[in-house]
Amino acid sequence: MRVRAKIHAMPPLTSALRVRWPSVVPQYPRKWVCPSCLTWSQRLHTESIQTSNQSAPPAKQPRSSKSTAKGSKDNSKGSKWEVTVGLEIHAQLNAPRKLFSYAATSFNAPPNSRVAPFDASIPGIQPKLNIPTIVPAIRAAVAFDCRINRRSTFDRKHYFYKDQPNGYQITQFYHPFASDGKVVLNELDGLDQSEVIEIGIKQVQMEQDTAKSIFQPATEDTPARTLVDLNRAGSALVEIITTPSLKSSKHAAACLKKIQSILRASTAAIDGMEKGGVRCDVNVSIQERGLPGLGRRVEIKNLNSVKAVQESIEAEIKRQIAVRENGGEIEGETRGWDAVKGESRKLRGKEGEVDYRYKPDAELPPLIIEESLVNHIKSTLPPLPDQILTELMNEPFALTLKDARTMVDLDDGARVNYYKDIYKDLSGRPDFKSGSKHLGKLIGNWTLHELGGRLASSFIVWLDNPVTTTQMADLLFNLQNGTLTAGNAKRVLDHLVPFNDSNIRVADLIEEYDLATRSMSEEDDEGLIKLANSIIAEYPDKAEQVRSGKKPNLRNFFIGNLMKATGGKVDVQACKQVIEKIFSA
Amino acid sequence: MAAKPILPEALNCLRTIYQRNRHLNAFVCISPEQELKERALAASRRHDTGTPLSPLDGTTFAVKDNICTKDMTTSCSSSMLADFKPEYDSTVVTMLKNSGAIIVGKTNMDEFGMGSYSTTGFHGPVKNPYSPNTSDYSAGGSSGGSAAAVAANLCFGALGSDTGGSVRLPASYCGVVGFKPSYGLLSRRGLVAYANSLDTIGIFTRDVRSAQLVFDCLNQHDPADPSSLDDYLRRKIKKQAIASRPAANRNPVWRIGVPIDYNVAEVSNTLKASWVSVLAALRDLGHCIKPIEIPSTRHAVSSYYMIALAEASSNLAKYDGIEFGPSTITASKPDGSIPPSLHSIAVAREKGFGKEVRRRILLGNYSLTSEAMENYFIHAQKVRRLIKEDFDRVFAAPNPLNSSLKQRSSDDDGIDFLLSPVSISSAPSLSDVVIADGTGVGGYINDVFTVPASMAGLPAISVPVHGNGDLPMGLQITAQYGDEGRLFDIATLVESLSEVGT
Repeated sequence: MRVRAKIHAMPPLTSALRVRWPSVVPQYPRKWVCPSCLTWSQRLHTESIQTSNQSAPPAKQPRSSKSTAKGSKDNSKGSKWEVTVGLEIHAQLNAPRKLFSYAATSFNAPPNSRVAPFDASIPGIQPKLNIPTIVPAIRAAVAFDCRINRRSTFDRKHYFYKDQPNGYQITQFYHPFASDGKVVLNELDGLDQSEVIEIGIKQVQMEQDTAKSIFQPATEDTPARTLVDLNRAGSALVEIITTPSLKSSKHAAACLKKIQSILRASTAAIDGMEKGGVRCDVNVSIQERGLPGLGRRVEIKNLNSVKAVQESIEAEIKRQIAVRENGGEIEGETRGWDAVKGESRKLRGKEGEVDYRYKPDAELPPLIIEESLVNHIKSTLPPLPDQILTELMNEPFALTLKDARTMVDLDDGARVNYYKDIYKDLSGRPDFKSGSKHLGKLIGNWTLHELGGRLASSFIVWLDNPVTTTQMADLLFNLQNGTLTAGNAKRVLDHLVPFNDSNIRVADLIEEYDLATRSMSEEDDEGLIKLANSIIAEYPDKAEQVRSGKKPNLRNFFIGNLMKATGGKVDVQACKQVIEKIFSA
Repeated sequence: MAAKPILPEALNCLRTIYQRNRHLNAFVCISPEQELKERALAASRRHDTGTPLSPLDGTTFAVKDNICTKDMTTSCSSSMLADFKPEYDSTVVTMLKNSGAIIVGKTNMDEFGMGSYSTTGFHGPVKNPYSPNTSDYSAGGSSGGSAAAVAANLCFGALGSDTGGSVRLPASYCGVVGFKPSYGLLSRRGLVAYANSLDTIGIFTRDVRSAQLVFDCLNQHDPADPSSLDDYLRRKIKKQAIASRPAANRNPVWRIGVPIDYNVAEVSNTLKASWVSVLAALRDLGHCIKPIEIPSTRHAVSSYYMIALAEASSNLAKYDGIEFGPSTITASKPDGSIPPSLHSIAVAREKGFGKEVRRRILLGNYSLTSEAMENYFIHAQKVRRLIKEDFDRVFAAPNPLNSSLKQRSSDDDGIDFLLSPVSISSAPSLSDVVIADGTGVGGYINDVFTVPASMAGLPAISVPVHGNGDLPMGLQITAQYGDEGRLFDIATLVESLSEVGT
């Protein structure tokens, strides 16, 4: 447990730094379309293009967590040991500049090219809070339903390490800017249907990131050495501390995923764990069921994937139970996780514990966050994952949880906008025929599976999606009113994807390739009946088997042949009707 | 009006430095003669054409070696920074240069400002220009080099830094004016931090009016310094100053407080005599002398050391041998008592810091540990608040930094200034300092008069008085926060009294 002494330090003599809306924050005109309009940064645009090349496998994780959930259940529910887990999550804020210097934040810049004198701890250079960095931080806190503390202060946390050029990290230990929030986990997060748990967020604090140290093995010319890249040093992080209230590794994993998705949806932090944008420490303790209080906690540091979090917690629970059941005591200690070996090892025990000597930073004035700014951020907060999922799963969209999840999780939810734009377009057309298919589901199917599948097999990332929402809406419009058969609609899509031309009109394609379904006027109907009769006449045996009721399924054979004979221009329903009509006559 | 002999004066300064610095050890780095000549020539041309940049155009300045100067080593008298050549000028140096001042060199000091006698640095001790021939006396510290340079006429003025008295004490030992402004008025950007909630840029000159000129030139908001007072509060202070000005045709009657808590037994008799005679002279001029009590100042020194050392341990954590400090490539192998990743850092800090700095870092780190924090650091912060409140109680003028202006019950209760000695005696001999050094923290008693103003962030000035002995001494005048204007007025008066007295 962290014990925090109340500090009533003498306030710095100079005045506090006040931030209020609209004096410091440029208003961003549209929610959620481009998360970086707020921050004038080019980074989000360019980098997301680079990174989405590794097109993420769709929603694999829930399944893998199911298999391990059993294991943890054995540990938590069945046994006499009660497990308690708390998370400390560090997320890189979506801010164009560092927390206390003007240097730009970066990931791929050449080493030591994004370094202001303060980041390199040049003597005589002082920190200066970059006010725009607090905006994404407040967004995160608001998204976690935190109380925003009007006055917060900055503290120094001391420890020596190569990647810590100042010898301390500036953080918010005594008076964080946000506290008492929560994260709700429910079936949307892979919990059982009736299960809803609320995990407290103790506090959210702003702090500096460290530099990166890179070990370089010895070569012919140089001895083994460690190189330090200061590009990351001083970048803005939020640390999110949950209460120790998670009862299993499964819940911890779900909570971590939920926190990541909220951070992403609120545009507070864009990069997830897979890109090193989020790192996690966990605290694990066990206690005999029924006994008050918590057992001694063990901290596992620097976990960089949900899998590592879940596995390390499971391994730690097993280790602690084994120690306790052999009559041993749990030592308060810090451990590191070896993902390859699947085991943790002790980094330092209680005697080696670092005393961080937290101390208020004497020259950074207290930060005063005015309510007007908080209200502004609240009112412009993009919808959060649960809201979007629930919306997508209800009428008029009525997507399955799986499809809704996929839309929300992939490419920062870009498909959701695409999907909704098509829905809006179609349902707004006065001559639109809704047809027999459910429109919400239909668009979902065509966006995720038909278009998504074609993009994936052509190695096109979503951000480069060549099909405009208008083209897609036109296509579905013609599908729903019967002009295109499903097969021909797919053919149109096959054409649109590689040609990558927003000027191509679906109507022109239909005309050019003569894809329109024959209109169902009287004469055409007669022509179709004629054609059907001639086909039936070609296969008398088979026709007989249908008539006698021996093999009624052979009707499909005739329907297929009839479609073939029309060149696919008559849709399957019409062909079916005609064949049925002939046989039932 | 005859043209100012700027070039000859500058060259004369340089010659005097070459002659005397070998003995005084005040300068640790001297500007190239050619550059100095060019600047002096340019300044005299400006004077000839009647377009001087400021009243300081062409004057010569020395800068303490913990204030960053572009392309000139800024070592803080520590081997940790022996090779540190900043790529920038500190804000105060930039302002001086923009006013036409000529920087002649960097001055010696205690390592990182930690000391009262300018003896702890790796450049060796500074010698007091007033030392008799028989033995060498201390110039005081930590800005001893700057004080000695001004006292020995090696330059017109000098910049120093004052954390708990580091400008006022050497000024009093060297018989020059030493001024520490209100915290937050002069930019600290470029001042290598010792205890950043106390550190203040200070000014040395030979007379009070010159100090005021320098102060006026540097007194500006600096957006790069988060503790620099913003323009809103500066305007508030200005308004308050105008309101408290006496009518033009009337001589002001000042209420001068004599802090009886400061009348410690250790104060030397000659110093007491000077103090009393100046008070008597002021009374004879019609000013009002009042004994006052500031009880919290009894704990000021111990609290000051708690806070200053805690901050120092933090501010000096960056010197880890990686970016700064001696190379540890050839360091011995770790012996297992500390983690291997920290070994090179430990070796670098052992080698790079001197004994006094290591001692202070250790004390500071201890006071911040979780077991000691509550008893020491937090307690000291409370005392600091009390000191500020005590000062606000005794001064007639309200503290412009207090948001709620508490109306004083009666204006007659308050005082305008505090008058006290700067130190307990005149400068000790360097051999006595060595003896005192061995007694550990016992030497910290010397800071008893200067520390309270530092803790409360108040402006204070040391004005030289020459007692009966050979060595000069200083009296300290302290004013309410931001009350620099009137502080210079009374300091000028005290200065004239002590000149008459000698």
